Amino acid sequence: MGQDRKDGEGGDPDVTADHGKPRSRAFDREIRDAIRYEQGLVIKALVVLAMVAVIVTVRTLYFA
Amino acid sequence: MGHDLLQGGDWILLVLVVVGAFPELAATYQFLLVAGHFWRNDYRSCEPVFPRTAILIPAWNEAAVIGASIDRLMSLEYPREALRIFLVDDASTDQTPEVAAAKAVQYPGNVIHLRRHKGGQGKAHTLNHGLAIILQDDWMEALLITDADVIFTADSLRKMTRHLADPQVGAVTAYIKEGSRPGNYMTRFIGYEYITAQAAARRGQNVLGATACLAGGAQLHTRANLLALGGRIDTTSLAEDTFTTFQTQLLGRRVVFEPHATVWAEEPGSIVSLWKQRLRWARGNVQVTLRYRKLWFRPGRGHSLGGVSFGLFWFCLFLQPLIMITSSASLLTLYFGNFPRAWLAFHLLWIINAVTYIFITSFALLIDPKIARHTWRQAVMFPGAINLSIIIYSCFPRLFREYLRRFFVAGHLYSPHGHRGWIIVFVYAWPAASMAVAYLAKAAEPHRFGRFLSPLLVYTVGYGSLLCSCTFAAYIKELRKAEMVWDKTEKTGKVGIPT
Repeated sequence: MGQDRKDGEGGDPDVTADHGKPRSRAFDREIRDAIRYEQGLVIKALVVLAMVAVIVTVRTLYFA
Repeated sequence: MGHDLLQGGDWILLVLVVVGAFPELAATYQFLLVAGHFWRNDYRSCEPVFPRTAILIPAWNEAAVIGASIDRLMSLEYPREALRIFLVDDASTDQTPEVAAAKAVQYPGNVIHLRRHKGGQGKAHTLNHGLAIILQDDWMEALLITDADVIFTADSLRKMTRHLADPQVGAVTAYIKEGSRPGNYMTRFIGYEYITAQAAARRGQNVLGATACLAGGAQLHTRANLLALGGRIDTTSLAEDTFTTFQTQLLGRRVVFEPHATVWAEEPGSIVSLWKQRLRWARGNVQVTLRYRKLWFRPGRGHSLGGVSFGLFWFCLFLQPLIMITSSASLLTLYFGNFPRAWLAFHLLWIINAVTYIFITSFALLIDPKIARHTWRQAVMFPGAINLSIIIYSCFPRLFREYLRRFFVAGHLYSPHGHRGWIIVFVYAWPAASMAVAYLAKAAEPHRFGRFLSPLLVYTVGYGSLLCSCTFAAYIKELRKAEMVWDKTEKTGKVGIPT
């Protein structure tokens, strides 16, 4: 039940968001930062994959 | 014909050996999914919502920690009029009632002390006692279930509630970090484990749309979700968190992991204490696996719990002890029947293990660099000294062959005829044997010599083998239908937020 005393039926959220107010800049920045952090993880994954590829290549060529 | 059968049998054994790498391959797959979290997440549906939130804390003899936890909760970046803390004191025999009463006076209207005079039935019963009271009126719009020792960072709750703007979300869980200060080798192992099991695995589960478990110390539910669950927590198992998580998703609501909402908890600082906690969790997982036996690998509408990927993750972890034993047994059988093929299988297994170990460890440390700063040694030693040696040898055999030969000669272990046979048998049997040695580490710990021997054994066999050993013990307990005892993890109040 939300602040409007109604259940979240018909796809409404279970809690009532205050849609009247514009989202604050701070909130938008926080969401942007979170997504940016997640994008950073893609770069980190690629870096680690590249490192693993180098190790496998060196191992195959010189230490097999 | 007989020769062909033998050949066929060898290939089956070879496959069974390589199956030993499946848990690591599944973990690698889960880590790769982390990279997909930037596009498949719930952030686009987030709104700054602050529902009236009841915080439910079950407490049994938590005087050492509960005061600080309540103070922290009352200083959250959240409207105070939208917060009520319900502390359910489960017939504590220490100063918990006095501390709770003092906090109720300090925060009038925000802290409510509920006392059970007859307790000891377990966490789920304690939660249900509080839930029944909270649901009596319609004040509560969201419910946060936490533990008495958990310290919430100031922005954690509002980072969780922002997901409740999405009508499909039924529950949100936070990232629990190990926060014991000063910690020891065990808490640092757990600290690293939580990067892999939470920061990484749960991001992967967000991408899949199927979550295995809401963290017991930080789970936020909508009122509608709780009512759909029947307004109570399952009391028939030792894994009430997992049951709640599964039921939420089976009822068509989503469970979201919010990696940027951080909470700190005190985790076990000894093997015995860890064993108690993990045995409870592992037994709970056996119960969940059996209860939902018709769910696995059967994709259903409205949830992804029956998906192949989720099933793979679940069973690779759940069956890891059996997988390790099967792999070792197959390798030894091959060794005595067809040594060249055993050697091939051994190399395949350990090269896969090496590659996955390098990837998982490096990526995990990069996912949470702050935790990595003080847990990197445990991350490196996670597989244990012996497994690590085998990994290095598998990657660079030429480098080590000569050194090993010199070592054996110096130790009078080298023999040109039939040399190294016993060492090969030892190495082949190690994945299974390491679990038995891990059990010894647990058995030795309470003794005087265990203070030094047990950590040494854990570093030798690896933290992973210790957990596998515990899972194996859980199989046996469940097979014997042992009594479900709620062994509470002892808390001392040494958790703190690092600055």
